[in-house]
Amino acid sequence: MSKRKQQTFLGIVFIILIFIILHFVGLLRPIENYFRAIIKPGIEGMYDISINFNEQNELFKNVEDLKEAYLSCLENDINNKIDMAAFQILKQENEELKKQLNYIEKKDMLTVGAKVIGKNIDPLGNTLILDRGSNSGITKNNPVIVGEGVMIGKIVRVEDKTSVVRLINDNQSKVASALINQSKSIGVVEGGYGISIRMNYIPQNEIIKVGDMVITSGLEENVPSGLLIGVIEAVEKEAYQPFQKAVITPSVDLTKIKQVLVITEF
Amino acid sequence: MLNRILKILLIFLALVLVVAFHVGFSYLLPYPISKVNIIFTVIILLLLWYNSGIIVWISFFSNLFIELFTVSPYGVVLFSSTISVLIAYWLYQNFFTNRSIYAALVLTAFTIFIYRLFYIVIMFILKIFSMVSYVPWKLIFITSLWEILFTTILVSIFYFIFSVFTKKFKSSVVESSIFRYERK
Repeated sequence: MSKRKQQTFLGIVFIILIFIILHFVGLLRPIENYFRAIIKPGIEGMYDISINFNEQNELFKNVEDLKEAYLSCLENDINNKIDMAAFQILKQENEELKKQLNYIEKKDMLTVGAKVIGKNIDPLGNTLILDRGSNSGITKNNPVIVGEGVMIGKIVRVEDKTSVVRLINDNQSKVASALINQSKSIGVVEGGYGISIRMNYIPQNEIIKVGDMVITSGLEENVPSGLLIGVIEAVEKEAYQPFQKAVITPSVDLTKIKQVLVITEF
Repeated sequence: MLNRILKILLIFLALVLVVAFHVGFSYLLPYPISKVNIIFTVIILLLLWYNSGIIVWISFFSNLFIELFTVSPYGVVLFSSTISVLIAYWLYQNFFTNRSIYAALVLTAFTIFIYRLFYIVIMFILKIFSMVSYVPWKLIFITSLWEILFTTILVSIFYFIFSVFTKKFKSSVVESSIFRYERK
């Protein structure tokens, strides 16, 4: 390598290092925020188009498919009505019991609504970019939910006006969880298995079955208990292993999320 | 002076557009085609067209934008991509004897290979020093292979289209190559 090339190489490395240092010191933040603001509308538009495009791909192939889906919906509707009736009875009973125990209601969760403006593009993980950041009160490790309380991930990076959510199906995601079954089994929901997730470290002697619901256990700092994660799709039990595993289908399609709530306090 | 400012503004606008396309296509296209690297496609085509060192700086600034959309530790993508484009530029200047679709193919595959090699080595070092908790090696390797394949295909398609419409991309000798000195 000639001397000139060596100088060019070292010069570029030096400039890159300067930029990295400026980023970590925070001096690049105003410029980065400005760039984000410029690119945001384009990226957001593309993300919305990609979600709409994926949704279109799920149309029914033929009339039989449609009929089958309709009948399945009817069956689900009847089951839901039965469940709802049982739920109402249990709710009333619960309220009565709470009164009898002088139960003090916990304060409601504080949440921040955010719009998904993009997702991660490198192979390191499944993450989403939100349009709210530390200016809105979001901090690292805040749980992120959709709807009434379906957990989709945790905040891993916070900027002034944006933040990044690590989804529950990400390789590095770990959530303390529990099953709604007789033994109220606890375990850890882990990602890294494609579109499904797994609940590991469930004691071998506990009975778990397909269809059991998985919720957050509350045994982890920052994450309240009772947030829905998904439903058991398969159970993996080996006689020689101390723990059993469950394959879980997340309650929401993690590839089609547009709006979320970040729990900042509970 | 005004011309220069206008030129810089235009380059900046073009950079923003390329980054938006790169991120946007990764959302829109189905896997594994979504792994195509639009930035490298543009950089390689610009390198073949202009054969100028300014391409390295274009790569630097476009990847500075890309850092905003990655979860890798800050600087990993920036360092790997800029250095790989610099190496590609030197390689094209000194070793490539002619400008052809085969040269474009080899240059693209080599540049992305170097980029991912740097990326993997840096991630490995960061892992050793516990600066990253987990690195999905298998996923990175698979992504790299798809990235090389689809980006090379895309560059070839664009090269072919451009060679039909312009004289610049017709097969020719690279003037800066070592053979120029031999002729003298």
